[in-house]
Amino acid sequence: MNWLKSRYPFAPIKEGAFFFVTDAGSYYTVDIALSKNRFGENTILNNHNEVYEISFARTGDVSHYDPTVSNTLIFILFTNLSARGDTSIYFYVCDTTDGLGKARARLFDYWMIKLGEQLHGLEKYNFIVPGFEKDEYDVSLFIFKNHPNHDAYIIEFEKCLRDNFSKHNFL
Amino acid sequence: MGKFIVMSKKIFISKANSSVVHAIKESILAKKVKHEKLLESINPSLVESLEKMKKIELVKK
Repeated sequence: MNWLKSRYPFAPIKEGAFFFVTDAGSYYTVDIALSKNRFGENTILNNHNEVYEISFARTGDVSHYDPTVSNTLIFILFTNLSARGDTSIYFYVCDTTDGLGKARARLFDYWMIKLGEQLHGLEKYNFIVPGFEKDEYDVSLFIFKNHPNHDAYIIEFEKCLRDNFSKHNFL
Repeated sequence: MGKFIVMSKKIFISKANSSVVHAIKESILAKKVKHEKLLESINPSLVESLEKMKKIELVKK
């Protein structure tokens, strides 16, 4: 668990949101927010108060790979996902608007592999949604394998991505 | 307990509803705004504390 040994100190901004500052002076923000009314009329996903959206951002450009950043992000995810128990599920919409979407998705996969080594039974499902042209969007869903609503959540999540996804109450 | 699975469960949506694509695009933009607001609300004293913690850690090493 190298990611536990070498990481940046981080601090909370508000409930579910954290930040840290790298040696290069970049700020990273992490947000793990309860997702309300994001799934249209879907009562299964909207009503259980256990669906969270994960998002990240950073300031400034990164000129070189800093492994301590990955370690810190994995640590923040590990502590928060552990604290929310095994019944919560999470999703992540990968930002593909700047041409770095595939690289970002790969990096996120790497973090989740490391996270999954500690959170056994956590599964990741990638939903590839076609855009209007040749672009596509990568939306990930995380759910524990033994979740009692495992199959229903995956089916409903896919339905939403086909028909009824919403940005409501995102901010 | 099952094994963590990554990249092995890809689900391709053959044809997405245009409103879904718009919602995804808008949510990516909204997410950027949300993180800008988070940055603005960072307490400067916490930044100072983090910098001090980093220095202490470096001294320990």
